Amino acid sequence: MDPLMERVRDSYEFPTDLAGDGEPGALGWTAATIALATALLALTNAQSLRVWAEEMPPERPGVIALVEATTAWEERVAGLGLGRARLHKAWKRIEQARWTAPEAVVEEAALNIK
Amino acid sequence: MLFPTLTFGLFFLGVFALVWAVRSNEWRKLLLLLASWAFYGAWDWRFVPLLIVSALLNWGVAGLIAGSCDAQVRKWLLLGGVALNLSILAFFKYFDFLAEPVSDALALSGFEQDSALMQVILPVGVSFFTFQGISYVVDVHKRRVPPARLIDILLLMAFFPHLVAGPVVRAADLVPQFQARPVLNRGMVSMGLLLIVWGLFKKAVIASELATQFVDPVFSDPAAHSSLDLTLAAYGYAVQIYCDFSAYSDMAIGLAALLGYRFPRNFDRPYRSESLQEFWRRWHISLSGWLRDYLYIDALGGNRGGKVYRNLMITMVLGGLWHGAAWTFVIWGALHGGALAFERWWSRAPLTKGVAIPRWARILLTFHVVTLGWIFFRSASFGDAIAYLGGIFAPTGDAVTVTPLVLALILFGLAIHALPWDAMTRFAERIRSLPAPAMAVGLALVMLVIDSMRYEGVAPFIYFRF
Repeated sequence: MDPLMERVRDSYEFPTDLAGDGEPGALGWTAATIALATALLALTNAQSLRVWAEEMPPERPGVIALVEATTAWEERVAGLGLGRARLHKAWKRIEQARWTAPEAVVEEAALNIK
Repeated sequence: MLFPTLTFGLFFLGVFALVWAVRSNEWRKLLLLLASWAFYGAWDWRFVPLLIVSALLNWGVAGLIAGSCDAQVRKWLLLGGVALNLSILAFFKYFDFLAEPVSDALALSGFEQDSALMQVILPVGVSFFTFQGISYVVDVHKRRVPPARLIDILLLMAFFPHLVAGPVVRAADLVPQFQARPVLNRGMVSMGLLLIVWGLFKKAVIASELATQFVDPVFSDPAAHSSLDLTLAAYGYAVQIYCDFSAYSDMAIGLAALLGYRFPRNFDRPYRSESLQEFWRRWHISLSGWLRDYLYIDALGGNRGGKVYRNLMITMVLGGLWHGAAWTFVIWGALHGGALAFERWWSRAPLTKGVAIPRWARILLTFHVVTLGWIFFRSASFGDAIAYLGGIFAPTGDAVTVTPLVLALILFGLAIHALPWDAMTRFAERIRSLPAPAMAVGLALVMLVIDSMRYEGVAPFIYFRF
């Protein structure tokens, strides 16, 4: 076989074709997985629900009520100690990290002024 | 309606529940068609008729071709069908490009035109569904596929997972799948879910973070940045465009799988390629395959007649123009065409026989040629691209703005190309036997972590404007 074809043998294939026969009840398993994951995300990611509701045009019918409901839900979930706030803060700290510490930058700037 | 948004998530949940609730395959297709039109209409309802007219046109022409026994008539019908498709594309995509010199000439002659009157809005995904239409008409003419029913062609062209940014799924791949109600299996679903979360991570975390925190600011003002920033931003864009575009394809393949349909792979670790030829077998596979089969071979004659170098050049320049009417895309296409022609000459020239370049050097060289092309692809104009390249070798600024996170994401984006080709398949095989609650907890956890890492808001996918 052509070495190039050997290397890219998998290029024109269907990635979702896995070996083996279909298990019985796969649709039920899929529906249960998606429904449960959605419920878990609604519980732990209430902030995203609120942000999504707030981004809708407020003049649309039902949007104000939706914003109130999602805000109340977010507060309730936060009261239970669930949510992604801590994870998000940790990520923001990584995002703001620089090669030199802020003090070093200030010191360097001060030396340059002198 | 972008894939990584809650609005799309809720839309998809509704579609998933509805299509699996109906028993009849015809009703299922009708529901999918209506959902696809609603999805497209969320961008601009005015273009839904265009999508329908385009599908009707291709269905009609293909039907006439199939019904005719006269080779000459079939040929004229084919040419007419292709010309009609290309005229739709040309009008929406290239009108402004062609009208600009005319407008300038009129202005010079004292006939000032209102610029708003001369501008045409680009319908999202027009390049993708037009190419799909052309491939269907050509395939029916070449008797590669039989003519399909109207509803199958309407759905083939409008099916929402691939509608706005591909993959360019051909009739031979998708229409046979529309003939019976699909059956789900856990392997397909596991792989589909993995592709969705992996795509979400690549788009929402890697591509968005690189674009907003580093690549966009550097490309918008290269004169203020140091050589290091400019070099790293070029690498950063290479990773960003890969993570952005392949993410859309991965999510499209995953979403289609949850609805029971199979799409072909569209990306296969492109930056591990040892040549440009190999790169095009791994990058946007559905488009490069389309260009090879319908343009390079069918229209230009491929390697026959000793015109291989000319044909390579024409194919790649037209491939560049497919992305948009701009000189930067022409240069990008010409660079790839020239490099492909050079590779072909090199592999056949007696002079270069016995010259062995190590594999790592071939990969490095190919990656840098591709990255050079991306600088033209990303820049707003040819002048900007030249200024950017000049800044790498003779910088006018000294700002170093690359952060540890940006550098880590660039390295990560390149390192994933070293994974084995079946890494995700093997992982999907392992999780397919998990009980639904365990699968759901894992899925929700990963999505929660991704959502915590994502940059605020979602930028449109790069390929939406093509």
